[in-house]
Amino acid sequence: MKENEFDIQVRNLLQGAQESVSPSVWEGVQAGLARKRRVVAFWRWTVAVAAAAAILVGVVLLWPADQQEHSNPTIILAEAPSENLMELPTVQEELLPAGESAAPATPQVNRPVRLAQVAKKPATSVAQETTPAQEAAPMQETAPAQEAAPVREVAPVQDEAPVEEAKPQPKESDQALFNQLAYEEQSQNNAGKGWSLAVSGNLEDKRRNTVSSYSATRYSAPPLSATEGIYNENPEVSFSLPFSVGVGLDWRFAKHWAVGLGLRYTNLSRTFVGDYVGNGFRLPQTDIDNHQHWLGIPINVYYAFVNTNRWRVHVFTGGSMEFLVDNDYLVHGSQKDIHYHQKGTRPQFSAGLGLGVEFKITPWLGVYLDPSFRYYFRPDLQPRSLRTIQPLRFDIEAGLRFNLGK
Amino acid sequence: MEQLAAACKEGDTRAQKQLFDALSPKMMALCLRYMGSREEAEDVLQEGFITLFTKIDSYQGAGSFEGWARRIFVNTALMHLRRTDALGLSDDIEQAQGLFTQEATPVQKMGYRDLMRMIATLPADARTVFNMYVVEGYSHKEIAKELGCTEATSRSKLQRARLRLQEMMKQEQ
Repeated sequence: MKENEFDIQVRNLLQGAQESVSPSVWEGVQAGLARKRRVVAFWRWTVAVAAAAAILVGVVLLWPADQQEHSNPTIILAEAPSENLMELPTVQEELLPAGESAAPATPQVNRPVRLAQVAKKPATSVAQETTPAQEAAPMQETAPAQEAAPVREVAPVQDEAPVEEAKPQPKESDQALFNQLAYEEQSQNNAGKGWSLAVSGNLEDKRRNTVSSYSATRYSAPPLSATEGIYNENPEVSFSLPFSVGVGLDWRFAKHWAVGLGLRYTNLSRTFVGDYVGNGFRLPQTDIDNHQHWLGIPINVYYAFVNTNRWRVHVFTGGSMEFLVDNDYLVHGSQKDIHYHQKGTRPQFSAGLGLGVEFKITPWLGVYLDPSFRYYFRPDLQPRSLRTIQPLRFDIEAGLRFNLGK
Repeated sequence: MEQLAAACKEGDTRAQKQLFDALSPKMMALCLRYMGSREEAEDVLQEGFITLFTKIDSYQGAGSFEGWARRIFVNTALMHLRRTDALGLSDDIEQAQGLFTQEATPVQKMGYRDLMRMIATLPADARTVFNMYVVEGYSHKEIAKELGCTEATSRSKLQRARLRLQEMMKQEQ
């Protein structure tokens, strides 16, 4: 026999050959795919959180400083004709030592932070900051004809000349200053008591302990006379990432304290293999998707230990009562998918503890991140889910908080 | 099968199962040829299907789907063999060339099971080259590239496998 003939004959015998395959291979494939999906979901989630954090950091770092520029003391000095502005301390007051001030002491209400910081510097350094060259930039935003005025006002300060000599003229840019003052006043108000509305989403982690209690059971098909339901759940189960969306109303009843009440929808999903018994028929060891739709009422108490115009950092604790509004089993394996809705479950109670941070983009709008640990009580009374396998869960709530004022 | 593949791309789990049912017997035979034992073949089959379903988006419809899938399973089997250091491809060529015989062997009288049993007894490296060259139709150049050896080594291993099989067939008669 020639070499080629041998090869051809062997190829003919082997090509198209088939071998029986153990059912466990398909189960292994499903488990492997579920593992891969989990890994992909984890990385997507991680990247999303990292991106959100990067955006947040970017917003903080690149936040425009124009509002602070309005609080420059030289501008205030030059633009003090209105009654409100006259109540503000002048640069002269800030710079002169106690007792040397010609003007009477005035309340420090709404004084811009920048002003106080500048006042701590020596007079000469302030004078340097208010040289004509540096003044030109902000003043170009207003009428050029009035540029000279602030320069003249500052020079006497350096020479210890009385402030009363200044003859400031009303300017259109007063409005910007008023806006700034209003902004800060509003920020201070929002940092204190009031109401806020939160719109949020949650992601829970998917870690779980090994399932051991199901693994030793020997398979026996349920009788056809059994009531409609799912039987013989396979120990291998693939859970999807749990997620929630909700709204909440927070009431800040003290500077540091707030209480919140909400309404939250949660979706828990899993895929497993089990038996389904319907009306006189049975689908043994078939693919089943389970979607649990929960509606919950969370109540939380917050204590803010950092509460500034921009940031609020708080710890919170609270409880939640959730109702399983629909427990939907989607049974594959027949010509048409079957939906089986399980009924009769009890409310699920849980308690949580977390640490959150809120960044106030404007006085009326903030973005927040509230990671927390939550424990679910008596999960054994509920349909199987990640919570029944591991009752202590970690979740991250992220959302927008609209400050509604008092 | 192409339609099932398209449905799998959409994430249809039932299509995945149907595709598995359609492909797995043939791919199991392929894995068994490469691995020699049923346990290892099933491991390779499982891993191959996970790879197939994960990478199914890369199948663009050029060529048959089964041919594309077959390459995945061959690659998976090779990966397993490399992991277990079963591919010791550093044999001397002279010895193998000296063993070549022109004597006829009645392959057509052999059954599939007998041939599979004989292939399973081949050394892993010779079995791999034999499968790749004779059944899958790889060239020696391609085999050398896949296995990281020289073309001469590939030829040598193939020849060794042929001779061994022919000897076994002779003894069986």
